[in-house]
This record gives sequence, structure tokens and C-alpha cells, in this order.
Amino acid sequence: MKRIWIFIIFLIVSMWSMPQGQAKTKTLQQLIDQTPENGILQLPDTIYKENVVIRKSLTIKGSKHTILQSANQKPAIKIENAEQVTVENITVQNAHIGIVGKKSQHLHFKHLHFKNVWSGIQLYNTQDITLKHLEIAGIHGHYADKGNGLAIYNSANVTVQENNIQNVQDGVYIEAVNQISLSKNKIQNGRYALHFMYTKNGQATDNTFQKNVTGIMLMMSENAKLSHNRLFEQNGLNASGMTLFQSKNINVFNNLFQNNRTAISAQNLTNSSMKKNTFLMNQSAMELIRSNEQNKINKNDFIGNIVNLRSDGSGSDIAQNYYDDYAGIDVDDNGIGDRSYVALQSFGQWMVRQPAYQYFIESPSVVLLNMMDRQTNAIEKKQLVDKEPMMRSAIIVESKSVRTVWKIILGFGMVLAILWFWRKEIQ
Amino acid sequence: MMKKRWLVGIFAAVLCLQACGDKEYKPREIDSETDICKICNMTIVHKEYAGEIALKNGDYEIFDDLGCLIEYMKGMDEDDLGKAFIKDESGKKWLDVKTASYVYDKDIWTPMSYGVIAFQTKEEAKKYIEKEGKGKLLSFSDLDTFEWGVHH
Repeated sequence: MKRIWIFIIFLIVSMWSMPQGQAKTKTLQQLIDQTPENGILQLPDTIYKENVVIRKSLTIKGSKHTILQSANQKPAIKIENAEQVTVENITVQNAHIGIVGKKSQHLHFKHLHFKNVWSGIQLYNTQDITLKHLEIAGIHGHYADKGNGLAIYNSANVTVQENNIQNVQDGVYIEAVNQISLSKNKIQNGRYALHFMYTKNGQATDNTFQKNVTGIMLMMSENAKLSHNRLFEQNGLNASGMTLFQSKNINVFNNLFQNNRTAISAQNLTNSSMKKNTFLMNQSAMELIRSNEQNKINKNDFIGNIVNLRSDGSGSDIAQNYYDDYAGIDVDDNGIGDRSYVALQSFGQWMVRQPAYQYFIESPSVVLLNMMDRQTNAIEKKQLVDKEPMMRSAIIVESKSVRTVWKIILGFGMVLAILWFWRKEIQ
Repeated sequence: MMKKRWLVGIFAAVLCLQACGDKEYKPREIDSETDICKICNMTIVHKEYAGEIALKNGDYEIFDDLGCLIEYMKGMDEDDLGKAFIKDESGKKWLDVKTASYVYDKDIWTPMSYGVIAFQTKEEAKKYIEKEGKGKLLSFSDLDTFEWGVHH
């Protein structure tokens, strides 16, 4: 009997003490508030279910399993009027918006994992930003019902590097930003991988964009460099590798466009260039609308595309590109074809005006029309004419040289082996 | 017999008069998967800012932002225009572009960042300006000379 009484008392004491134990566990907001200015807050492997606000300089470092879940529709982390904030190594999940930053500078977000979020990070009026090694996976559903992976408004000096973003509306939405560099990011299954609006001095390098509506949507922007990007399989209805709209000083070079519906749709560009790009097996490689002679299309490789170039009749400076369907010869052996390449195709031009015609692109009548065009357009002098078509593709030349080196090494090895066997036989 | 002839005559006259009367144009449902803006090619994901033009030939042109719609209207043949529609500020109701009132402010977000939103009446637009403490009232005729573009 005594033992039973002791057990009951122990139970009551345990239950009494449990809430006190919980009260001692500090919330993330309390931990943030207790961290001194410019201090470092190291978080353990804990799940925090709350929304926090940061208004001072500090560094938050998570552990392997530090998770922050939003308790309501507000951002999981809100940063306002802060001078220097670093957030690292945290998983943010089940939040409407992961992080919102406003009127702050020196914000650094690294190694963050966003799961099941409507939008990852939104930044307004910020400066000197780093977004690096972020994993963002949006919610299920149509892209129209989702937010953007990263959205940056009215900001300057932004670095977006080595992030993996999928299943969001726009991978990175950039509006009125000056100086932004995006490199080595992988963005897929969204509307636009990168969406530039009113951006100055933007740079996108060495990114991979796959299965979006459009890889890079660049609108009303200035001074952008888009290079060494790989744009694959943007091949749905209205899809394109890049759509460049009403912008100036845009340089597109050394990119690979493969299996896109339209690789580049350039509309109303000024003083821009597209050089040394490879267009591989796209439905239409390049569409030029309201273009002019200031826009240069040089030294590109057009291989395996159904339509290489099409326009609305406006002119561009097209020269020294390689076209796999060029039928001319090079008597003087200078690497440039002796007669012009005319990309003008009646059907291609019609497709610019009526995109629905694309569904008839390889029909027998269109193939016949294209063959007739090749004969009749030989005398065309202005529209979509390359007067110096290249005889060899840059990528074929590279691969040939590699193959030649291997052949020499292999051949030399075989000769040595034969000599060795021969000598062995003699002995 | 006479009565039948009269009935046929009246029926024919009604048909003719119907054909001569104004055709009623209605906005159509927007599909975010397939519809893109006629001017800027953006997909229509923010339907609450969308515009439409019903052409007399039965076709529709879709726009993601009022600014794109106005640009298209400036370049089109007025005879082809059936009716132009724009979503109101709530994003739920279609308004006739020509009779709506508008408010501009650089801080109002729209898909093309043009910053102009529509209201059914001038009073509603004024109320919005009063409530928000910012914004400039515009009429349809003002949109013709409005400088669409960068306002940041």
C-alpha cells in the first residue's frame, strides 16, 4: 500500500514539473532577442513552430536537423531594417513564404532548405545580398497558383549562386535590380527560370534551366550578359529558351539551346548581340521581331533545328553562322561558303504571325513548300541572309580535334604492342 | 392565308432587325496554361490584372496588364474592336475599358509594373486614393497619353 502511495505521489510530482520544464524551453524569437548585436546564435537539432522577426545584425547557424515551421500565413523569418544578417543551415518548411527581407543590407542566406513553401525568399529594397546553396521545392499544382522561388525587388548588388529551385512560378524574379549575378543555378519545372524586369547590369552564367515555360524571360532591361547557360526542353505550348523583350545592350553568348520550342525569341531589342551559341534540335532556333541592323547574330551553330531563323520582316546583322542545311561550297577553302545562306522560309514567317501553324511544321505540304523556298529564295539579298556562312561547326571542329588526339595515342599504343609481341616471338 | 403571310413577314423583319442590332460582347475565361499576352508574351498567371479585347470577328486577344492592352488598342483598326475589358481592382469583375476609371501610383504592383488599376466608377477610384493616401486619378482618355514603362 505504501508503495502505491509513493508511486501516485511520484506521478503527481512528475506531471506538476512537466509544464515547468516546457516553459524553460526558449522560443526562437526569445533566442534571437537574447543574442547581442553582431552575435552568433547556434541552434540545436530542434523543430521551431513559430514566425520570427529580426531587426538587428546577427548570424543564425542551424544544425543538421534544425527545422523552422511557420505557425501562420506570415513569413517564417522576417528581416527588417537590419544592417547585417546571416542565416545558415536551416530547413524552412510548410510556410507560405520562407523569408522576407525589407530595407536591409548585407543579407546572406546559405545552405537553407525550403520545403513545401509557396515562395522561398522575397527581398524588397535591399543591398549586398548573397543567396547561395539554397534548395527550394515549391508546393504541388499549376505554376499560376504558386509564388516565386526567389523574388528580389528594388535592390542592388545581388549574388545568386549554386541554388537548386523547382516547382515554383518563377525560379528567380528580379524587378528593378541593379547589379545582379546569377551563376551555377539549376531551375526546373516552373514558369520562368529567371525573370528579369527593369533590371540593369544583370549577368546569368553557367546556369541550367530545364522544362520551364521559358528559361530566361528578360523584359525592359539594360546591359545584361547571358552566357554559358544550358537551356533544355522548354518545349511546351508558348515555350522558349529565352524571350528577350524590349531591352537594350543584351549580350547572349556561348549558350547551349537544346530541344526547345523556340530557342530565342527576341522582340524589340536594341544594340544587342547573340554570338557563339549552339542551337541544337530546337523547333525554331531564333525568332526576330521588330529587330534592326544594330542587333548582331554572329558565329552561332545551327544544327538539327526545324527552322533556323525567322522574322517579321525586320532586319538584323546576320553573319558567319554555321547552318547544317547549307548546301554551298567553299572553293577558296577559307572556311566561309562561297554563296549566301538564305534562312527565309515562307512557313517560318507565317509561324511568327500565327503560332498555331507550328503544328503543321513537318507536314508533307510544308516540307514541299520549304524545298520550293530553297530554290526561289536563292536570289533574296536582305531578309534573313547570311553572306558569310561558315562551312564547319565550332563544336564539330572541337570534337574532331579531340578524336584525332585519341586516334594518335591509340595508334601509337597499338604499334608498340605489335612490336613488343613481335620481339617476344623472335626471342 | 393573309394572316400567315403577315406572320412570315413580321418574323423576317425581326430577324433582319436583330442582325442590324449591336452584338453583345462578353469576356471569355482565361486559361493560365495556354493564354499569353499578345504584346509581351507573358503567361497570364495574375488573372486579377488581365485584360481582353473581343474582336468583331469573334476572336479574342488577351493581355496580362492594362498597359499592354492600351498599346494594342493604339495600333489596331478601330473597326475591328468589339469591346475591351479590364479586371477591376478587386480582380473579380470585368469592366468596360472605355468607361472605367483608373488610379496610378508607382508603388501599385501590376504584372508589367505599370502601376495602373481600374475601378468601375470615379467615386470608387477616389475612395481608393483616399484610403491608401496615394495615387493619381486617370480617365480612359488619359491612358492614351500616359507614359507606360519604367516608373521605379
